[in-house]
Amino acid sequence: MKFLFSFLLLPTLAQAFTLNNSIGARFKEKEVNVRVGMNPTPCDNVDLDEVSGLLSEAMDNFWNKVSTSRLELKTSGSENTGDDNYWTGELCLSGGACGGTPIPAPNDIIVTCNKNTTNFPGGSSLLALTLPNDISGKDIKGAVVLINDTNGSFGALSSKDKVAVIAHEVGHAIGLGHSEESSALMFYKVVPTRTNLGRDDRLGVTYLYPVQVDLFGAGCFLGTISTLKSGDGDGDGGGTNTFWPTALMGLLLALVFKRTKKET
Amino acid sequence: MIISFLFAFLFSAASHAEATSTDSFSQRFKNLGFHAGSHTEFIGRVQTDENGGTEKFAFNPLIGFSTDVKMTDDWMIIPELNWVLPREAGEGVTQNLIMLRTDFAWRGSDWWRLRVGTSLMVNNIKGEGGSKELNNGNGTSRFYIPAESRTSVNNTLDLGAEAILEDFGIRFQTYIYSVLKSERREISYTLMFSYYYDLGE
Ligand SMILES: [Zn+2]
Repeated sequence: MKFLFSFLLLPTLAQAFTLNNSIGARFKEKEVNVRVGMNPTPCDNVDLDEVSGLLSEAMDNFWNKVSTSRLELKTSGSENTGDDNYWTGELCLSGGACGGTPIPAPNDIIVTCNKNTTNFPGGSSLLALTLPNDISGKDIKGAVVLINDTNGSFGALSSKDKVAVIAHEVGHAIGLGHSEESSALMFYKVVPTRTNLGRDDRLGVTYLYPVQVDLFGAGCFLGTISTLKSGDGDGDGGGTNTFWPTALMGLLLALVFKRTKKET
Repeated sequence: MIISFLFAFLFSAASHAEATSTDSFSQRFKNLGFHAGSHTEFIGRVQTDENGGTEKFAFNPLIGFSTDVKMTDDWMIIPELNWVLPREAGEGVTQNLIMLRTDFAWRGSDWWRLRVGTSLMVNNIKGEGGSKELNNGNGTSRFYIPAESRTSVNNTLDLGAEAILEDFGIRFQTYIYSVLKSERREISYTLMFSYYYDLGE
């Protein structure tokens, strides 16, 4: 049987999505806020107003379009960071030491500029990076996306590429790692034209945030959001979550049968 | 999941038997259909190259079976089970899609019929775990291969058209995801061939 199964596997696709942590952590809530982080002093090279304007495009054109994912990234407002140049060691991670440095409010992803040379060593070609997620148990509490402000390379990008860079970093913020496929947004570099997520990205966000019986997309997550606990891994299959819709389908069938009896 | 579907199916079959005790089984269950085809997911929504190209057709083998249940001379109800064969998504990740479907079909003439129906799209993604070093733009970083089995379940609105010649059919079947939510509305489709084994009248 094992052999048969392997035989059925199609070897044509070499894609693979990865996660950015070993435990498959993810945001617990269905809705996660993406906000611009306001530093005490302005950025040198990055226009945060522009970034703010591009955020919703970055979410709506990519992560918010996947019908098999429940994750909804909301872009609203800003959050004060209280520091210009923080790096990983200064993040207020859950349960860790905290020197009064920025931590995203729970359920938030902050996008801001940064010129800390620990993050972006001199001459770094990195456009942006995502600090390690603030994880508690199997939940992501918050994440920080930093746009490289040590040089003008981000500012020199076209606005479409800026959107792609932000969307890629938010991919890390929601728990995804890199893909080896250049068709994927989670490929390590910006490709000439980015219009959509690749198959890898879609599988990744669906794996982390699977929809469970979204009735025609109406947002009826029957009994799932309330029962979906952190780190339950969703188990194998829908459990009781899909019982009522299927039973409903059966009931419909039954009614139809009864009706046809009268007609014939 | 599967159990609840079976329950629903048995329930409907049982109540059918009760309601139509004067009819023979074969008068209602006209035939058994066996299907094979190729399934394409999310037309125009999956980027396939570096230049913005998207997927319009993909070769993903699908098999399935169904039965036509006669309601009136022109209408029938068709429960169907389809399976898109496991697709590898890179090292250690496998995707499996099972469709639990029901169609109402209207026979336009002897050789074609239209279908409207609904599916539960049970989409499983299973990883074997492990990790690998990948380029991070500044050297390499360690990234992790998913280690669990997780399943998404969507409810779709399905429209299909089928041409039938004697025992054989060819069908264009679409599945609309998130019908009521335009931002996430996506369409998948299957091109399939069917063989209908007649259970007799
Ligand atoms: Zn990255």
